[in-house]
Amino acid sequence: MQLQQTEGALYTSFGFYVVYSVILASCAGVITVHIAPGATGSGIPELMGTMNGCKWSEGLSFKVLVFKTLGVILAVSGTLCVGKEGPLAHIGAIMAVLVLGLPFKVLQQFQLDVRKREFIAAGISAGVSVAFGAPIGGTLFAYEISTPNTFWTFNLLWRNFFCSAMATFVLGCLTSSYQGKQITLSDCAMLKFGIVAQDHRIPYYELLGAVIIGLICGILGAIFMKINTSLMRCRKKYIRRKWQKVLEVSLFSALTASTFFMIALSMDRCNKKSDTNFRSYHRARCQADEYSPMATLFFNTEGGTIRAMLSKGVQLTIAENFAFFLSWYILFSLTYGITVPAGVFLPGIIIGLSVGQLYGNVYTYLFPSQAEQ
Amino acid sequence: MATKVPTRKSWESLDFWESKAEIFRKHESMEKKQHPVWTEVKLWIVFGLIGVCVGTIAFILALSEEYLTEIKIWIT
Repeated sequence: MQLQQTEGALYTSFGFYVVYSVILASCAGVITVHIAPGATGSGIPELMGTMNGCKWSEGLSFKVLVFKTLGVILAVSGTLCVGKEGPLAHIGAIMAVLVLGLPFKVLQQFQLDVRKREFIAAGISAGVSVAFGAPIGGTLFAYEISTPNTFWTFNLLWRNFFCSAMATFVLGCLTSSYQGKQITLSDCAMLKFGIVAQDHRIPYYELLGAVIIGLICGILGAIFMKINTSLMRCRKKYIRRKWQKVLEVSLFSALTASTFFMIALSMDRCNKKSDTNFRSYHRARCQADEYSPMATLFFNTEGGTIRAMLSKGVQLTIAENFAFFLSWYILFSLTYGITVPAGVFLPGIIIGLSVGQLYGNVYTYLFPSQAEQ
Repeated sequence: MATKVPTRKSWESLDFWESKAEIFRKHESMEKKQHPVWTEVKLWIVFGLIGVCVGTIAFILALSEEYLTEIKIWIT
């Protein structure tokens, strides 16, 4: 991305960025509020209920599948601080129910309510697996959220793992074919963390850092829960009409897009590109061989932001790091709960990463000699 | 004044405790007696099919998100 240099052109860029985000997010809101209310949120709490005996027909239909997929694409592209990994579990579950309902004679013997739960579990596993490229993780996630697991058998565990592995493999094949690359099984997921080269031994004193980061993230999580619970009470009380819900989505999209653009612009700084493997640099107002760290973080997809934070090629100062963390944390706490298909995994990962990076930056500032080692 | 009696018209629950679901147990034992291996194979095929469908949807989702973000950056 290259931003215009003159003031007038900069305002135009800002306007386009905000308006485009608001249009996408509003479409997601309209779809969710007016057409498919079953697509709201991540769908995971409802799936927990479904797997433990409650029937949730309105959330497991073809209509919800189409509009949840469309809604999550629009919400994430509309610069809202929400993730797409939770909704993928719901999409997987709906897909499983729909496959089971196909008019084939082979499937007729499996069209039982009890069997449906097994297939839903497989869909959830596959959804989480494709998100993180982790078939084992996806299978265990489905096992965890189906507690108390009255229908789980050892056979089902293996079948779920097979389903997850197939989903990850298919995604890997399709992505590699689309990008014209050789098919690889080690890097086939929607969220790619990249390969971290382990070229040095981690000293024991860094364990203390892990404890501190864990503590901070735990406290932040508790505060998030508190804020979100209070906000949900307010939403239930004051935002009851459909137009109010859509307006809320639009306002949050405008707020997020404006904040991101302003921070990226006000903390604009040019660095030389150093990581040849990282391809999602954004230059903003910098030269062709340079990049702007804040523009790279704010103007990427969520997956691109995570890769940028993990890349050695994108260096942030403490102030930049803190601004990024604070903006994401506040906006995420306020946004989660609005009427769009939305997950918490990716924003959680981004906030956790920024806390970790902030710790690393502060540590390097306080103990430069130790950090060099 | 008549009080509202909650009914189960709007929702229903599945058999919670599978081992006590008589119909399912009978169906499963009959299924396994008739085609023990074929039923298992069919189940694995259907689970694989679910995986293929979810993988394809995830690909479409990821591609669309990237495409829409690229447009956002391009118009800016």
